[in-house]
Amino acid sequence: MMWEPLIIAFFCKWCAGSAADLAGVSRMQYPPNIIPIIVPCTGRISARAIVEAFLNGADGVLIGGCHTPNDCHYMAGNFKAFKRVYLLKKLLKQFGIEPERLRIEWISATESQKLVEVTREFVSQIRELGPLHGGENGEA
Amino acid sequence: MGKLKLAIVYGAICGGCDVALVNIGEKLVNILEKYDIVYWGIAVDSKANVLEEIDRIDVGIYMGTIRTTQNLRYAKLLREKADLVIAYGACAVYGGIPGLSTLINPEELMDILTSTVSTSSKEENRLPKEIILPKILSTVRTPAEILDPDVMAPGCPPGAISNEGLIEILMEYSSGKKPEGKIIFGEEHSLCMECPRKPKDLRKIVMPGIRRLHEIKIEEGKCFLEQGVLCMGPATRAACKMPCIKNNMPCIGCMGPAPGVDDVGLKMLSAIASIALVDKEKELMEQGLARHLDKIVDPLGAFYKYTLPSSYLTRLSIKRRSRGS
Repeated sequence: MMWEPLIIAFFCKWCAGSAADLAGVSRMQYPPNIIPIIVPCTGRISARAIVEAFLNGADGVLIGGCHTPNDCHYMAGNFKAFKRVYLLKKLLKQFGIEPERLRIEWISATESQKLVEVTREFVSQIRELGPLHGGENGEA
Repeated sequence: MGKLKLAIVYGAICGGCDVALVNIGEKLVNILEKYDIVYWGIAVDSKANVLEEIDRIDVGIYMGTIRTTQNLRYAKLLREKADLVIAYGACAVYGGIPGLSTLINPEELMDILTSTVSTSSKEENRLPKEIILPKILSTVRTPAEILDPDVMAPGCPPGAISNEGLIEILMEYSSGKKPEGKIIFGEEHSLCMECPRKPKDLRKIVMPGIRRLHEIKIEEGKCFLEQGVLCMGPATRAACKMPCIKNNMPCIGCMGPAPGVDDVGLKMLSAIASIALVDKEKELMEQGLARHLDKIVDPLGAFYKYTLPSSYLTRLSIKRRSRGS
């Protein structure tokens, strides 16, 4: 079986999540490799949740939140997400895992086009990087 | 009735745990009255075959982590023969400082060792051929994972609380009567619960940037996090009498994860990200918030100083390595 990248996407309910909804109702197409998980706020995604996604077979993790500085529904959740992702990327690098496998993007509720582009781009980037592990997600 | 048998076995160790054990002082005499030390590299003249030939040990203490095939063999021998096994020290419980080597490939390590020990040429392989050394395991395994110890005494080295607990267990133990369940010395909460340096507002700690120890003069009595110094207290078990905090140094996490924390590094990373520069995020975002976070130069070393082998990311990294990429 051919290997297909598996990507877990954490989208915040207010911005990227709504953009994904909009992309759906507008019948825009994006690669089926991503599994979106809608969370109330990106600021609440712990480093542990991201690493667990990797451990359970994800080849990449995409986080979609509200634009900085003023879009966050909870004032500063996107800043927390940014800092967490930044530090985690540094940590991943030290562990010998490509930090590019983790990506954070600011996507507002109306930017469904951006969401589609980011998803396409990220899937092709992960495809280039190759599988993170054999796992259940097929063999390389 | 004859004396009970006590064996103290090492893995990869610096020797600090021995000193901590000897530091117990006069109470050791009581232990000697009750126990016969059959094996302890530093104190009695014991050879490896003692461990192999003896049929039964009552109490076995394992210090250090498991790094080589020899460490592994001794650890397994100890578990096989000892009734009560005690993992002593951060290395034995969580992997400790030697555990930091878990991400380094053994071949690469031997290469460095044999080619760069002196200033002479690198080409020369300096390891004598006729000596057979125990093989280095591809990853560090913690005794806690392999031995299934009955008692765990964390700390680097274990402090007064662990030592008092250890003495108590050794004095109460009688042949064949193990204490019930798993015992881990320390409290069921994090170090911050006991820390005398209370932050101004418990619900809103603000870290004014990341400061390294040499950059500031640390104020006595003020929360380290509020001064911008990384302190592992929030994710660390309260199992010491806070020698570091009392001497104006932040916690580095040698007592291992607090109850409810299974991966110290990720928990601390999330926590630091939540409180660092929270008051200035908006202004700093434009100039580069990341630049301020870069002050954490070595996140792996800072967050996983003592618990690397048991971390989720190590598991991920090993999985990746074993795939043969």
